[in-house]
Amino acid sequence: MSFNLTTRSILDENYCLVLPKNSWEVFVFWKFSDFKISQFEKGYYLKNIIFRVLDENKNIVADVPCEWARAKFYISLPKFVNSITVELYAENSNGKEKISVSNEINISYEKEIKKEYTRI
Amino acid sequence: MSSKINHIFILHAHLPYINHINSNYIEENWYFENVVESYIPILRMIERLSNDGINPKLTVSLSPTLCSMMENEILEKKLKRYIELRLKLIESETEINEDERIVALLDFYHKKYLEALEFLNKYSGDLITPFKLYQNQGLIEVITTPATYPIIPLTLNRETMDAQITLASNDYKERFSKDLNGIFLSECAYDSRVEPYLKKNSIKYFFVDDNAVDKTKNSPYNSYKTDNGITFFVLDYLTSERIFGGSSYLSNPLYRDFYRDIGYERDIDYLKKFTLSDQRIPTGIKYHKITDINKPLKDKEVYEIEPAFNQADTDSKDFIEDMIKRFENYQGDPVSVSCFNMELFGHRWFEGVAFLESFFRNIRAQRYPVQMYTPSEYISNNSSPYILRPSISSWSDNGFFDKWLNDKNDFIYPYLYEITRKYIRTVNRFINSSISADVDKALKQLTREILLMQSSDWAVLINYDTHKDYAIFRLKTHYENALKIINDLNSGSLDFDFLKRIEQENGVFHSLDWKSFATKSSF
Repeated sequence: MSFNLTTRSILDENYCLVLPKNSWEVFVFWKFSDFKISQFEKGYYLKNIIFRVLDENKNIVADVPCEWARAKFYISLPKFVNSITVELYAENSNGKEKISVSNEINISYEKEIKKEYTRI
Repeated sequence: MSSKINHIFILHAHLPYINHINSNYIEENWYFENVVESYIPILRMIERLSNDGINPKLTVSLSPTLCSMMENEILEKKLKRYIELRLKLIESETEINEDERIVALLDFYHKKYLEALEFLNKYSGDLITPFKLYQNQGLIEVITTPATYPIIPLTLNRETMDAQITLASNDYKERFSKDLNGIFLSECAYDSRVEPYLKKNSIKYFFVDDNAVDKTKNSPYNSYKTDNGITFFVLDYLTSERIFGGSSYLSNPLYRDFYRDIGYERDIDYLKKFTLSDQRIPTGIKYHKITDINKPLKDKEVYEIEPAFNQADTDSKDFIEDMIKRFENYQGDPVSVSCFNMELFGHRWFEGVAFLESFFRNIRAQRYPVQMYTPSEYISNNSSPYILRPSISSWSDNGFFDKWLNDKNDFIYPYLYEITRKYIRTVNRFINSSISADVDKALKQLTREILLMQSSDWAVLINYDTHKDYAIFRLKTHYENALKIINDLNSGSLDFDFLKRIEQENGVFHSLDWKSFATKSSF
């Protein structure tokens, strides 16, 4: 086997998950069921999916587009938040469809303090 | 002004579980080098201090994977062979070297390796016993880490977090015959989501890096409690700055140079007889001093033992005096927590164990206003009135998790998540049914494979491009082993030869309870 990332899930599920890289950037990865992949491949959805980043109060922090087949993506947070969740939307002519909601992760409460420390 | 400084000194030791039955991987040498150059010299130092009536009250963090290696009979045999071959290499080097300074150094190395062998024989090859003994004598407090050293904030399943803490706690109880009081979260990486599992296992304290608290509002020299009533200590970054920073002790021209090693200089055919490797690897036999950190390796001068060890004593006094000076105007009695990788002392910093020993002796002899504490002792004498929620953080790089999560190694997490979910489904299928001994055995080994894949070491090795192939090999092996066992369990036909083979190699956590991973809740 080789560790090549694809959007195909061995669990045959649609999901997206988020991990904190640091307090200003998060890592998102997502997987789709075989059925959902076939919908993307057949053009039922637009090529780009949207990641909606929500803060702890469910306020929208950012809407970030990304190609559906990339399988992973880093999102830079435009503002300081305590915690986030990410919603994954697919789009077509009927509008946006929420496919999945990620886990919630803690970010930080003191973003500006972090950067002053550089480890050797 | 503070009347005394309360000091907690932690030596943290972890290695990924590496145990290969029929082949020699150079990565196994990490363990052998650390045992000979750091773990045994530190244990012998504790013994000497104790014999002289000095209680170091040292805190020792030993990861469960390292503890498993310390009790592994295959590794014990390989370790003895490693020491014997190094002794032969030293003897061979003594015959060909004429410089008196090098001959004196070789004599020093010879004694050191012989002492390591004697120490291992004294404890029948089991290094856990002396740690346990010194803990029972009140000389040290041993704590542990999550089971296979995952980065907690990068852990995606609650079941994983629960299992990693619960297994570590149970493993500790079994090994050290007492309850676990404190934990060193892998790489000091904290996320408040871990606290319910710390509480569930009655863990009383943990540590955070100093960037986990806002120092403009809260002193890093207090202990705190979280909302869950668990005490946490903040690492004193300035103590490590003295050792690692710009004008640190580690760069002193008198100290032995770490990088120049005869393993990179002698003829490879000559070395092979002693290293059993076709590759050039460090042998631990080094003849040169740092001289000048800007000088190329070829221009380093020959090392001399006595001035270097005298310097270690001088530096230990400076370390203490600098700490006292920093707290001169501090209101109240601070608690300063120094934490270092154990391998720093002896292995990376040849004179490091001498530095440590001088540190403990000088506090006593010079009557410095420094009171050594183990964390448990400190907590029982000083109940913290402050409640604080630390931020997610780690002690590495920029204080976060970039080292374990970046373009080079991020592929690990989707694979890890999916195989862990598949595994949890399998565990859930069997949890309430009566199962055969064979299925139980298969589920145990499956759990080991998942746990070993969760180790953060693979991501680090890939990040630094050092031993990257080995890290990918290990990730693949554990993933494929886990997938095969899951498929075999689902089809009802277990492959016993396969199970027996992988159990021998990856037999960490003998008495683990696979039910720890069963679903309690999920994201």
